[in-house]
Amino acid sequence: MGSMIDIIGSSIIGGLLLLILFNVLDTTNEYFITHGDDLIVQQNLTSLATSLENDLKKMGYAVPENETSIIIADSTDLKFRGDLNKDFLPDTVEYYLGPISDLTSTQNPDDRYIYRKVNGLPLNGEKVGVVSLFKFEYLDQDGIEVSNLNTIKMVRITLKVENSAVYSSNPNPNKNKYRTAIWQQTRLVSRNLRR
Amino acid sequence: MTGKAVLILLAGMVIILSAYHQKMGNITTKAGENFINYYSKEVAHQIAVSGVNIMATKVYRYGKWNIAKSYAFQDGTLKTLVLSDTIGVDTVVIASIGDFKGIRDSVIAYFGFLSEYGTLYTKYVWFTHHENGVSWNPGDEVWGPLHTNGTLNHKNKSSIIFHGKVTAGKGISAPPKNAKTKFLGGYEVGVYLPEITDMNLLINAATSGGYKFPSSTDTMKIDFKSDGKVVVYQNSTAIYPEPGTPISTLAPNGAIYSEGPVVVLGGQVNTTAKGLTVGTGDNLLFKDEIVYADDPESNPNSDDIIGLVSWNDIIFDNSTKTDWQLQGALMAINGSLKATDMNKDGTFNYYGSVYQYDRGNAKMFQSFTKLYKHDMRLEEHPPPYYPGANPSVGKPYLIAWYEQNVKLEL
Repeated sequence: MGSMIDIIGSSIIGGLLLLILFNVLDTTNEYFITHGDDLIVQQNLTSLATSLENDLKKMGYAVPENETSIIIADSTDLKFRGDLNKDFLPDTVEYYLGPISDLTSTQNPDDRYIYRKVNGLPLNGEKVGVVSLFKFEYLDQDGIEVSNLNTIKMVRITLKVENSAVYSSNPNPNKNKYRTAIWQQTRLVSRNLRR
Repeated sequence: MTGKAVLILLAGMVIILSAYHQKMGNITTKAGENFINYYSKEVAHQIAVSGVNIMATKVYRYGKWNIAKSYAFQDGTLKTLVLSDTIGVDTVVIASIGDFKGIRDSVIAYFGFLSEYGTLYTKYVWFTHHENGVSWNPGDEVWGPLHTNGTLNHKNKSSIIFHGKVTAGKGISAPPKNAKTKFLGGYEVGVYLPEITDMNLLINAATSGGYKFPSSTDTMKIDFKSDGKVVVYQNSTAIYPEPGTPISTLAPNGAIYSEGPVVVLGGQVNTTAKGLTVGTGDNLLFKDEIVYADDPESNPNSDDIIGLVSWNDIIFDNSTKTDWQLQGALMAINGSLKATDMNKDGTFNYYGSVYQYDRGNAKMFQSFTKLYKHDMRLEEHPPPYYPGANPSVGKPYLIAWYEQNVKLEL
């Protein structure tokens, strides 16, 4: 009788401990994945920011002074000329935001690809990152927003990167569940535009 | 039995949680390292940029930089290099390497130096030291870079069009941001360029190897012929009469100077490839227009180049002629572009490069419809001995700025 009580008692306690353990594991998993997502989001952000910075710093390099360096200056599309590989021949570089329809396979409804083209290649653009916000703003020397290509002296870039999916039983989780990293370079300017 | 089972479960939980904890710690550390690495890259880059800025200041000030240095800077290391000096070449290349926490970045800047007789001023279609409160009016159009050391005034109408870049030392009124006036080439304020203070180079060249008018008080009148000759008068007496003498014979080095006033009677200017500069220590008066024999607007390979330099004013006799077409570089070192009749309307169709100290306030240069087009040939090939050159050192200007990141490839 006594051993039966022991078995029942230990089963109950063991069961409770297992339940606690599963709960702890679930919570730990969520934290674990969330932290992993944070890392991925941050790495995506910094690699994309580094790529953008590297290219934009060369804007106007090897472009004759009386020729235009910036070709397209749209809020989600920037096309400019600059010598990327230092062969003293200006390359044409374009960064643009793809449509939402290009990335429907992820849970995040807002994420999109950023495409990069150099001298028009590859034809469909190279996917260099996934963002949920990508915005160019164009400023003159006083920091005033302008649209005239020749007046642009600075480019402000805002990037927001979110993870593609959330650890959740809800297929449409609240947006604030997504891990987010934001980067804004407010005074990204190429000296070659100020000659 | 129960106790053992519980202990085993607890031990398992502790082991599993410890492993998770360590993993999470690693991920958190990596996330931090990711941003620290990005920060370090930025700092290394900024150190390199600072290095080139320091060197560029020296280049602008002294015309060169010849010190390779390495020193601690912003908790990192800054190394400045000179990749080529000004000796024997017309460019200087400077580089800077920034090191921070094991990350390296570099920036290279290329500076050009104007050639022996190069000048910064023919880069502009229009250069004024003082705007004198005069405004650009409806219908005025300027093709090419425009600069004033003062405040650029415009009547804020959409028919005023600046096709090239506008730079103004003291600002633009009304501010271009919301103006109707079109600044198609962009604008920049706070840019100042020193004014020209002498034409000694031209005077010396005219005295030796050119033509210096024999009288310091009489008026030199000059009439241009399309066959490359000029007819020269001393007051009303022709000292080089019709059909004229070749410019290349009169002034082999392309420099003509008169201390007294000069009157340009008009005609078609046909010069050698060297070009021609006519200077006066007084005023220069246009009785009629001059154009190139080989029009550079239709033939960019035209080698006809003329500069007309006045110590005081350049005056247009518009008593009978109201619509003007003029080609050539004009410079009024201490004066303005003016007109004899202050109150006439008309058009001024110009192709060249204007420099004036004060902006002329005659009506001809206010309510005239002014069409200024830049002769881009003058940028590379100014008229001979045109003022503004600095033959001893040459003025440096930035050609290109290359931020290349990580490694220095020369």
